[in-house]
Amino acid sequence: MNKTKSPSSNVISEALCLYRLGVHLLLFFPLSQVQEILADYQEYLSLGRERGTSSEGLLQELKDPAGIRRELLGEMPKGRRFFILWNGGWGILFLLTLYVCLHSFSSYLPPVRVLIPLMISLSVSLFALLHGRARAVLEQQLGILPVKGSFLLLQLFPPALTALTEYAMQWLLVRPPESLPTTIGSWPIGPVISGCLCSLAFLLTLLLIGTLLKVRKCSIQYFPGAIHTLGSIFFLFDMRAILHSMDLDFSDLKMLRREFILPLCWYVAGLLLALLFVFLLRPGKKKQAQKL
Amino acid sequence: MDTQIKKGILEMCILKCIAEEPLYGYDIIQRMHVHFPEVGESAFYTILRRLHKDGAADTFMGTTSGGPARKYYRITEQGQVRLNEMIADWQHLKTIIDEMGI
Repeated sequence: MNKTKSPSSNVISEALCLYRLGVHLLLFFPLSQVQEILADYQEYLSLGRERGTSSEGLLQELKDPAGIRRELLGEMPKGRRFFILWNGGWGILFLLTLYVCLHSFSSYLPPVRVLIPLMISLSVSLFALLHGRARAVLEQQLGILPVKGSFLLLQLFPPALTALTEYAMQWLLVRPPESLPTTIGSWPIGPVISGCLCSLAFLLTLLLIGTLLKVRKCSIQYFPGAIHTLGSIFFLFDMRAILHSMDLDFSDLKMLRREFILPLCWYVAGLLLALLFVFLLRPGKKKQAQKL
Repeated sequence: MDTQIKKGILEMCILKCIAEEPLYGYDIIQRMHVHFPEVGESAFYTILRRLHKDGAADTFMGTTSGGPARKYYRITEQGQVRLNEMIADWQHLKTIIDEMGI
């Protein structure tokens, strides 16, 4: 029994092919040029559908974006310069910021007012490398809608972990020191807490990597979720760094509690940045949003 | 067929098509596919963009029998000159090959 695709599923797979080609071409060409190129292919595909002719040949070609890119670069060699300048510039900023962030977390932390700009720089440079805004415009024009159900559920994980960790630390602080165990099993309590924080940070890092893979494969709309998770990861690392660096003097409880509230700035910064990117990725104005 | 030879020939054939009448991309490619079935659609679009960029063709939005607006390609004066030169070169080449008995 021959299975035939329904017309609507053909349209969806065409849109996905065009979108993936568009994302690939955005590395080399500005959005306006990519829109022009995709408009030509989309017109061809829609006319082919209208007239009942097969567009399999073109669809096969669209599945090989590297081949199309090579042809286009042959005609428009400025694309190479664009690739080097855009990706090189933002890539250097991203790697530099990442290095500074990782270095900061391995030693005594500088103030939050220094690290928050680093977090902003990291997320903005990554957004630029992913051509965030341009991808959002293409997704809107091609009708690519990300499936958000389980993704939204996963986004409850970082705030839940952050709140739980903060609550646990605050609870530990208000307990009389003599009531706290010094060991858990045969392990001293300090390293156990530190290990727990690292494990939670590792879980969130897996979530972050999964989200970034979703961004790469499916839709840029998942990007704010990645930044939201990043804020929680930074919070956990900061919490761990404070535990390691502090001489816990329980005589000044107010100061201690304040020290353990400050890492929440990371989570709040991550959340605000995520909301900013949600705003940046919202459907564009009518001029940009004209259907391809 | 050699890629470079094919590129030149395809360009000449496309210019000839649009010199007769303005056409949109789909129609140009369908006509070309009759004679060059092995050439991909993206190659034709690349040539059309090059012709537009070089000023040999320009584009305009037009409609057919109440349908949506389509991008039409038409030859320019510069394109006509280029086509005439290409046809002259081709005929000259054809003469040489005939004389050599190939």
